[in-house]
Amino acid sequence: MRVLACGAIDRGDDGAALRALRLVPAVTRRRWQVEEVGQLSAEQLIGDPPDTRRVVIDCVAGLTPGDITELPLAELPKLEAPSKSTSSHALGPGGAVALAAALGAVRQHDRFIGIGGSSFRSGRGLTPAVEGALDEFARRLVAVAERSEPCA
Amino acid sequence: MHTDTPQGGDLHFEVGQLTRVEGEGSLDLRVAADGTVAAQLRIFEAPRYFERLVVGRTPDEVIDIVARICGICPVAYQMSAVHAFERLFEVEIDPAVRLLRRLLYCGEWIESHALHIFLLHAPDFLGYPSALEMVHDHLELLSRGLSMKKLGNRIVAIVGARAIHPLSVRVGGFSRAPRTQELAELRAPLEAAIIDAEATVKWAASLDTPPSDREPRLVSLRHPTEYPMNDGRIVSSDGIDLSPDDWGSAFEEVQVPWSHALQASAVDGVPYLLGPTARVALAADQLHPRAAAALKATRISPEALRRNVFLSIVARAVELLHALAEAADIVASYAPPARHAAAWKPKAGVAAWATEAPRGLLFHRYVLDAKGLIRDAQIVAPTSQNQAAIEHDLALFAPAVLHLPHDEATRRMEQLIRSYDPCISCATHFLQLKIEHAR
Repeated sequence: MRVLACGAIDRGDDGAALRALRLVPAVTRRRWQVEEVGQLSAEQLIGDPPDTRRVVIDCVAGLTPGDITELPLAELPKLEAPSKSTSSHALGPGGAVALAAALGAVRQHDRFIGIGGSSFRSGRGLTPAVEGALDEFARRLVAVAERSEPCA
Repeated sequence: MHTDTPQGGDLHFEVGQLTRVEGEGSLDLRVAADGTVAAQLRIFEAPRYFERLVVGRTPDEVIDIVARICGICPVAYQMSAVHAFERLFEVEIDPAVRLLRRLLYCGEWIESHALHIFLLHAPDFLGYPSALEMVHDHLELLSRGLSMKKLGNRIVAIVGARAIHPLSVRVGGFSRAPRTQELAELRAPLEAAIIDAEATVKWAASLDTPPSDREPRLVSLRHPTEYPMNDGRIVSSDGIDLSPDDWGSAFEEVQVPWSHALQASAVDGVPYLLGPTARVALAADQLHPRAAAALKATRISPEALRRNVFLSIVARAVELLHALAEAADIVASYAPPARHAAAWKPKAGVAAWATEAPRGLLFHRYVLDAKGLIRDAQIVAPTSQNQAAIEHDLALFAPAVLHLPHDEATRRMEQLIRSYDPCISCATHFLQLKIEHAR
């Protein structure tokens, strides 16, 4: 299973996905192909064999801080609000998924897990709401992975 | 307000609210009563202070810090810095390290050029607002582009330890050299990508490009045996010929009132053009044979590339092919360096160098004290050097489109701006064109 962890560790709540990964037991994490991707881009989703399970984890604005949401990755574009400050050098995560999906590279079993955040400024600290939900965020990731992995 | 035909008094055209990853700007056009146009590319992104942030830092810290200037071309910033320091410290690097650095740079050129050609510039030529709207009609084209971009990122990740803001570049070499097997895994994908890139050159040359005629001064590095990248002399189409540490003897940075970014210009005031078009025109004889053959097959001459700004997509495609072919050659002959990093000792002095970022010449100059700590820094990015050329070309081009309907005039000027692949090109997809009288 590929885990694509988005965000930057030194930008407040944006580092939540990377921090949650560190809470996953090493023995579990070693079974995954973990990639710290910064911002998700379409090419990161193309080229995998069709049966590859992928989970994208990220901290997102718009959710209540600390709330966790899980959905099929293909549904992410519907949830992305139009941005007033959009650069076409890099599509937003929803745009990246939409482009990859149009190329046939997003499958039903690909999942997205997001945690709501409120502060994305420079700095290593998480806001209390995100800090308090980090264990649950990690547990949800493990649960999704267990559902995705074939039985031994 | 929109006015179709400039008549009578002066007109003021504002293409504003450019939003982007690394800079924010707008375009301001003023059309005088006699029809002459003055263009100002306003970059109002807040200063980022990198030249101050590196003061007091060690050379290796600088290499990591300057990589953060750009998420698309961090390798370029690392390369200009590391070469500058090694020249001052008189470090002799292992030949295999030198090749690995070219491979790293090839990776960056591949990802950057693929991004621009397929995701940013192609929609202009094919008539779509963005790549997302284009995908259903041009699935294969975008798939090909994303695959090449992914391969470029993979090369950077293998050599640089991370696809974005790589970590392994150090004064004297690398913190780690890749194993032979790691690079061997790139051989098959590179061969496939070369075929795709050859098709890309052919496709780019077939695009319908608007007419454009200019006579730019071109500037790039030139090396006796290599296509310009990490090494060579700074040359121009009209006779400038400088050591790569001597940029300041022919060029200077100036502050213009409409831009937070310093504009670079030649000391004689003539605007100059950097980037793929300049490199292909000035170093066509150094292109990889496969890239040279693909360019020749287009029947587009270097002279035509030079004169028509919109043909930059062809030059960029030729360089995409060059970078893939050179990467394949390096991978095929790779043997790990005997020493992945040479020892060095700091010393006081001036460290300066220029390399070729995807968008053009990138010059760094540092003053170091006896401990090797930075006391002063100057970083001259390609976009700041291309600003004057962009303004010059917009002034030439605008009269041909200002009579068009609002949206079409905006689209044409965005297309021209994107031809330079400036850092602000991303935002020009979202321009709003405002036209008002400024009598």
